[in-house]
Amino acid sequence: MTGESWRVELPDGTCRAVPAPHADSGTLATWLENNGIALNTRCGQRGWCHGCKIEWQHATGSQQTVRSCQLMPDAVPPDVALLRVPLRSQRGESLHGLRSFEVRTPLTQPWRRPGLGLALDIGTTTLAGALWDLQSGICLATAAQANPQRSFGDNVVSRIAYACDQPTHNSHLQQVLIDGGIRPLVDALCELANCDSATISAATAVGNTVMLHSLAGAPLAGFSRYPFKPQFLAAHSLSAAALGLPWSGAIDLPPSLGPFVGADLAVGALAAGIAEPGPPALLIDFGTNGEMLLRTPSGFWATATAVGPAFEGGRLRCGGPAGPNVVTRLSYADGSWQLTVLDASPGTLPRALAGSAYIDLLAIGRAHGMLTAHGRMVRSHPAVQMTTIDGDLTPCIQIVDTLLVTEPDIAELMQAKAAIGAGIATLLHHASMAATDLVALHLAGGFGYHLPVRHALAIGLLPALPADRIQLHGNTALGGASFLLQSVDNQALDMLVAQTQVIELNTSPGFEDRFIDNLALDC
Amino acid sequence: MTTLAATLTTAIQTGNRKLACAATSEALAGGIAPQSILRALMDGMDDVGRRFRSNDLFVPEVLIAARAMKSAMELVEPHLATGDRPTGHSVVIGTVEGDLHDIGKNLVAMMLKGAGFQVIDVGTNVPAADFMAAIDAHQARFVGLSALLTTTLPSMRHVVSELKAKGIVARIVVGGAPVTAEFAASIGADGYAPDAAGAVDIMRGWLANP
Repeated sequence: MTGESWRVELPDGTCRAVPAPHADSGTLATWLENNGIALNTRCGQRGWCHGCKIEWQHATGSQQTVRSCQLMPDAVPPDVALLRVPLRSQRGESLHGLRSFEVRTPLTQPWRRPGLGLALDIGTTTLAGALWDLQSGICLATAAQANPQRSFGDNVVSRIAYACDQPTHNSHLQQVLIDGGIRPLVDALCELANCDSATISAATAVGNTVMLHSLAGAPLAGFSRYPFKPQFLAAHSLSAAALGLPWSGAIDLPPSLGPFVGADLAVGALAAGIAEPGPPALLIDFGTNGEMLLRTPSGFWATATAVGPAFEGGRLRCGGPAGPNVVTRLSYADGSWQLTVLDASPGTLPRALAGSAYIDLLAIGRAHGMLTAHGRMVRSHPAVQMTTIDGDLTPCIQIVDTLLVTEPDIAELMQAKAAIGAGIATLLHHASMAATDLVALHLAGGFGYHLPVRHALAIGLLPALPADRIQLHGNTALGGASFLLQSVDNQALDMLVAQTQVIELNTSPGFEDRFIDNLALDC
Repeated sequence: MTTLAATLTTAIQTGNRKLACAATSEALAGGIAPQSILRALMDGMDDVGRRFRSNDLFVPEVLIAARAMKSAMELVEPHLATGDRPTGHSVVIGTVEGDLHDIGKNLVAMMLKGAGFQVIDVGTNVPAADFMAAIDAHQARFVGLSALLTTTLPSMRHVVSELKAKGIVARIVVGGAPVTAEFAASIGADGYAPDAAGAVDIMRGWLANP
């Protein structure tokens, strides 16, 4: 490719003229990202995944697919006229649901004082914030944005690996989080609330333990191998000014439960109203790590299970996070699919399927005999078609022209489902309880907010409970952080942390059995 | 026996644990030689490995099949006299120090058993010295090292260099999600398994062309 600008075709079919790369532009993936076309570089540009694959077309008409994180721009032959970003390589930036929260624990002694309060939820994928008037206890604004560390990988392990690669990387990750994430998020909140960020007088930040370390600039090396040695789990206080943020005062970090079970889950129990021992209840915060807290009459059990990005649409052929023009729900009648599309733009085809739509597909697929319990497509079913994908004739379920589901997609979803199911079963086992003992199941997180409960029950993603025991909460981490911001003390939280036993699933005998038990599409 | 053997093989191929266990019990009760039962089970698992390799089976199906295999083998093993045990070449397999993940490693172990190897599974979070001790004790021909986390790759490098420094003759195959052929070569491993069935292929290849 030559010239002052290069043509890049986006998944929606539109073309962009991007200023041509120069010697310092880095890899093709980096150049695209710096020009506002972020790719799904979930392995942290190590060349292990397919998330950065782009296509180009030679003047002869022949096409080539390349890993853009492994190529410098000068590797693009001069006769190429167009670079094409396929849907599966586009990084989803949408954050629907994560700004919504509620708090079920009553604030018996609200801490009313002048000033603005900031609650932050630092997720591996998404950052969310709420700005509060601490005098009136009114929420002035909520906002969310992608965690800019995503270019270093889509999960905490790839961030830890990056931090351990070079001595400078740990502080670089911190800088990226603050400059590219927290500061713009706070600016957005202040603009929405029409106030000055310098007037923020209190802040509480929650997140998984790794993210809180990254915010504090603490070394991530202690998370790299078992036995894990985090620098801190106890409550912590940081100076906003020292982090380069535009207000004076502290950012309070509540205590974490364990190396991979963070303050986000602990405060989530406050939001869900299960922070004190009582009748058995389970809180599941769905993310790339599924964090779970089981409340019992005598204490708490917590764990984290490696779900992977499938429920957020990651690693699925036509998957994407819920957002504009994305299918969030599916139904099937008279041999055709009906779609619910979020903020559909007229005249355009939907661009991706959200995790919730895949749950619908699995349940409907099983109920209508399109899928076997092992996740295979039934070739003879009219909804199943044979299509050539990557040169192989393979069965698929075509939802609309632009969206299809394949057997490897189903296999990926089954493993995510099994991770959740095995986590739940292991916690219940340690507490000597059965799923039916649960009086309530609280679901949190972006995926949890949109979860089609009936279908999630049908495929065995959730334990078989009456649907009225299942409650959707939105972002319990943000709700819990907001609660703490306005509480006189942290006593309830400290009690919870002291009474919680954290289970490491990989050392729990029977985890593998439970994982396999939960793979099948109906339990 | 032929129909029962076919049933055993099919039960593993389809991951039907109940059928695998029922047929195994029936065969044992009917006086069929334990090693013939084992052979039929291994045939099933071997086929699963082959079909996984050719993308004909996916991870969930393979895990389900491996568990059916494991359950049936647990029934057979108490009936095997020492002389009946598979006399194949021995393989020491484990997950490297600092890493607790074992589902992938267990799958490789089961596929190796299916292929007739004697498998010595030393577990997870295994330091080089423990690998060394097991290799010596069992005169192992091969070693399989697993790591699931990017962050435990340095540990894999360490284990390989320790084993090589001790001058072991056993050849080392490495694998796991973050492991690449380049990485395997860079740490001095003798072989790289891109997936569970790959480990079997490599070791078989070495036996055919020592």
